[in-house]
Amino acid sequence: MRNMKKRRFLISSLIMAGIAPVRPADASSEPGLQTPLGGPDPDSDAVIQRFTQQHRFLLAAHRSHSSHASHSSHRSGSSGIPRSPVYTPAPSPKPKTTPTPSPTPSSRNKRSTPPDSVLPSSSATAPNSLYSAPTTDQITQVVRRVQLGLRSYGYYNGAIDGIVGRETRASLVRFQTDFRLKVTGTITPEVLDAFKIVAQ
Amino acid sequence: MIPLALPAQSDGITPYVTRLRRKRTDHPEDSWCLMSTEVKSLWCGAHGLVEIDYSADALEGDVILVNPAAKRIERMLRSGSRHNSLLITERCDQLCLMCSQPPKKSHVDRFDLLHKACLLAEPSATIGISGGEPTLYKARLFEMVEQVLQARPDLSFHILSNGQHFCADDIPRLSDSLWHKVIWGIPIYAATAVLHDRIVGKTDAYERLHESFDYLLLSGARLELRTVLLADNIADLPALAGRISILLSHAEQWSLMGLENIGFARNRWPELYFDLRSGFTQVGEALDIAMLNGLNARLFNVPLCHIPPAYRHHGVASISDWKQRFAPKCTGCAGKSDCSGFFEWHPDELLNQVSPI
Repeated sequence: MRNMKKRRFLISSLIMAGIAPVRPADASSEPGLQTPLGGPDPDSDAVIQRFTQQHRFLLAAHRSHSSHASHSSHRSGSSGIPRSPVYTPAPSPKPKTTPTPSPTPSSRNKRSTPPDSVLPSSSATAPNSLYSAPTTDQITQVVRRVQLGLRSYGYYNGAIDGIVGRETRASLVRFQTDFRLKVTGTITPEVLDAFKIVAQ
Repeated sequence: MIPLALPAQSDGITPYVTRLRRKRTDHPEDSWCLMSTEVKSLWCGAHGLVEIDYSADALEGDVILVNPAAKRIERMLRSGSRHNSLLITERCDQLCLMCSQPPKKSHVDRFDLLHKACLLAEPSATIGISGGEPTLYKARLFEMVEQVLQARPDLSFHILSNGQHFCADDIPRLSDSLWHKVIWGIPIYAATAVLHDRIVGKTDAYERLHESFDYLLLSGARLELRTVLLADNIADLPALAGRISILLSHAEQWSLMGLENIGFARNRWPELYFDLRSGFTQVGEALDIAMLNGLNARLFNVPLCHIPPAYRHHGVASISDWKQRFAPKCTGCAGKSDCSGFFEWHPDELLNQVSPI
């Protein structure tokens, strides 16, 4: 019961972070997306932009969420008071899958490689929209998602500007400390895992 | 031109080394690709995010140095390249007439980062070490080479050095079997001290060079000798071949190198360049002497059509990705696949000095 409640909460905070698996068609009817961030105009370009970017990230399946095991520990932070909201994820049903290092074909010939061959070979992992001219830096998009994630977890109150400034760094340090991740003050794979941001 | 430094943005705090992987790996120093377009790619690793102004496929497998403050990355070890060379320092205590990489006075110690990069090298790679003059920081250099080879016995090093800093104390250390994985590439430009010292711009350099050769020989060190072909030393080559055959016959290779049109040689080209098509006699004689004495002499950076047929087997086909440039006239040349090609930076107006064979 308690777990159910927490899980529902988790999902809504992820929706707020803009990283939940909401289909674009459903997204506009989801009130949680518009209000918590200071109520941007749903018709504004920024909001539409955020939805279009959603294609590039998916909610990771639980298998890759290896940091779960350590999450419960963050409640015993030094203050004794859990930072709200508290996140108690369900136990991971499968052990972390170990990705086998892919053999690297080193016989690249850049000279004779046509430009379009820089696309990944598998179309299943690469929606065409990914290769349209980027309007925003990729790094800015990911940083913004992490900032939204940090905010939804109660670690960040700064601007969602896609820039890792002093405040973002400090909240990353607090987040990494509480979640027993390697404390770097930067956006590491562990941080992306925690917010379920995966490569597309 | 192969870009070695690329604009980049990173949330990292200090400069760091990482290896770029298309897919996620377990290696703690790897960064994996999050997104890529034709012009940009985003990677994430233990040090943070880095977005590079280059496509992921062209960078996959590279070992890079990310410098967040400078907003750029350096490709330290390019994947698939057989010519990866790490720069220890830009300082040098010689000032060669034709220096391809003119020295600077300042030095930034990057040994820790270079060390990390070496550990991430591809299996069985040979890592080139150059400068500047690497042995100006001999203690750190030796330490790095030894530590890397202890951790990665599959690797080997080729270290370019002017041979001005070896001393008797180095003998016990360099005698260790670990150093069999290291070849020293050391230039010698003439058979006489006067000419050699003039070319390298340092008094008594020749004397000191031979002292170093003695210590290296006593250490059982592996040696490659290098001679750049210049208008100044062409006439001296037969004598040099004789000298090497007698004094330095343990050298694994004598590399005769065509002049590179870069660095100091760019502006001094007319006075320094010797066109082998106008006379191959002395080079031919030097090659004959070397061959008769069992010295492995090879010609680098010289197009096959500049070498008379009888000596073409000394010419070395380029394996470097920096030397894949050919003249339009080279199309259809029978020797192209065995040819040195030209450096990427070879000027257009000189490119056509070829005659297909």
